[in-house]
Amino acid sequence: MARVTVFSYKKGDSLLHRLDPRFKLFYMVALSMGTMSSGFSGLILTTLIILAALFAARVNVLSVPKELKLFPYFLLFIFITRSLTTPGEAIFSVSVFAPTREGLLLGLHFCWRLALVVLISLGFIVSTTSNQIKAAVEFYFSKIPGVPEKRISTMLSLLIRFIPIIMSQLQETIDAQNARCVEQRKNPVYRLVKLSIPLLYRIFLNGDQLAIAMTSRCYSEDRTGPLLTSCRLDWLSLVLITSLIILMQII
Amino acid sequence: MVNIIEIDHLSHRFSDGSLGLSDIHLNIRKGSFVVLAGSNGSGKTTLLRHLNGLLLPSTGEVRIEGTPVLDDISGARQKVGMVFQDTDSQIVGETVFEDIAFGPENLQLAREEINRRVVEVLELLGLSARAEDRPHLLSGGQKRRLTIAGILVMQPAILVFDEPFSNLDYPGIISVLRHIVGLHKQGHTILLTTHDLEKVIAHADRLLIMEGGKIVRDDRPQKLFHDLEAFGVRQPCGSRMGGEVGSWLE
Ligand SMILES: Nc1ncnc2c1ncn2[C@@H]1O[C@H](COP(=O)(O)OP(=O)(O)OP(=O)(O)O)[C@@H](O)[C@H]1O
Ligand SMILES: [Mg+2]
Repeated sequence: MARVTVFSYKKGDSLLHRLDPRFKLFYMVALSMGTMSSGFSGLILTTLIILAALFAARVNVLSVPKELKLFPYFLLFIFITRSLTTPGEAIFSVSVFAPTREGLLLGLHFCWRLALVVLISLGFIVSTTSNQIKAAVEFYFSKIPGVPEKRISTMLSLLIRFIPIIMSQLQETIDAQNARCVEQRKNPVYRLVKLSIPLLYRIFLNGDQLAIAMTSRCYSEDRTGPLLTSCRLDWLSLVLITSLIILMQII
Repeated sequence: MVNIIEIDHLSHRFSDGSLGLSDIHLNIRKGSFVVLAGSNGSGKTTLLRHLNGLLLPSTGEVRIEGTPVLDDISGARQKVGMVFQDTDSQIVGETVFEDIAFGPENLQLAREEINRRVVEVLELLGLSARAEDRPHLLSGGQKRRLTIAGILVMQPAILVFDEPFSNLDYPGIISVLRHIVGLHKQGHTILLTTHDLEKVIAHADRLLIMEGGKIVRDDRPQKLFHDLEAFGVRQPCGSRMGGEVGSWLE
């Protein structure tokens, strides 16, 4: 059930692992936005830096395209359509197909950017536990007035916890109904209704039991929060990443 | 303080008007091991839920260490640790460690104190090696022990188990039973419900039988074995044969 993929937390002690999750979350968002208006040299520079960080964290970058299944084809598709549909100086032409120079560059730039964003997110995901992600999200939400950040982070973690359970209940319900030959019924609406009634019933029942168990463990919104400490390394990295983002825009 | 739990004239009427408990009188001595038996729907869970204020009495009163539950509900929740039947819906953490830390975090203890306590109960329940694992990867017996760890870390005086052996295989039952008996020896007061007395009765010093929301028998276990089947509870095998009921741990 629990599949091991490269897109999950990996224990380690690399530079990425040692950064404060709040800083990493910020870098992920800022860098991804920074790639939008960056030229090729900026993309090259950032890609090299990210690859070096991933390498230091012992992430198997080569398994990413395999893991993402359709994503590389998606990139190829975008690349081809871009190069064919952008007006400009044609490189060669075969009947109606005439890829342009501008189109090729534009397509390449776009695909590179998307791939880079994937790599940046990968760097965040492999080096940050879901508990740290929760703490970082909670930290930023607490800066917005009127947002109940504790409740949001509790719901976030319950969601992460309960999705596998709901999925296995769904599978169990499907199996039980197949065992009673539900596939003889051709009407999909009938089958959907018969599937969702027991599933929803169990989800609500579980939710009720969960609430009771949480109450008897004294659940309250004023709880000991996660411990987040930033150190010199974090502030140093903030200066470096900010410079990188500015540099991306001008070179 | 002799009686750690005192229940006077407790009745509970559900919102649909049906009577869940009627006029319950019960005192439980500190350090005792009490088993609550009865058929499905006899009111065992309803009674337990009054001990930490999950349900409130329609009439009557429940006191824990002399304090009415109503006067200090969060105090009662800390003193009475409750383990429920369905393990999956009690586990809230993404890792074993985080799940155990949930209660102390709610009590707003300092982070160092929380870590110290969690490490201690992990050790006590033999889960140290699984601390960083995701709870749904644990075996049934380990999951049950995790739910026990999650309440033990709040340092309750009374431990309440609702059907602790359901859905467990034989090694699971033995490991959970061994821990429950160990906790009793350490001085915790134990209150446990079950349909199947066989597994636990050799360790209990008192047996209560419920029927229709009332406590209908209350005595030392050996004295009640012959009454059990009239109330829908199976008589332990050993006593049926006219002998002793042995412990599952030997
Ligand atoms: N919220 C409710 N509203 C109405 N009736 C309820 C409610 N909760 C429980 N009951 C009824 O109260 C009776 C006692 O239920 P309780 O869960 O305490 O029994 P139990 O002894 O724990 O049974 P089991 O062995 O099945 O766990 C049952 O008949 C049940 O249907
Ligand atoms: Mg019950």
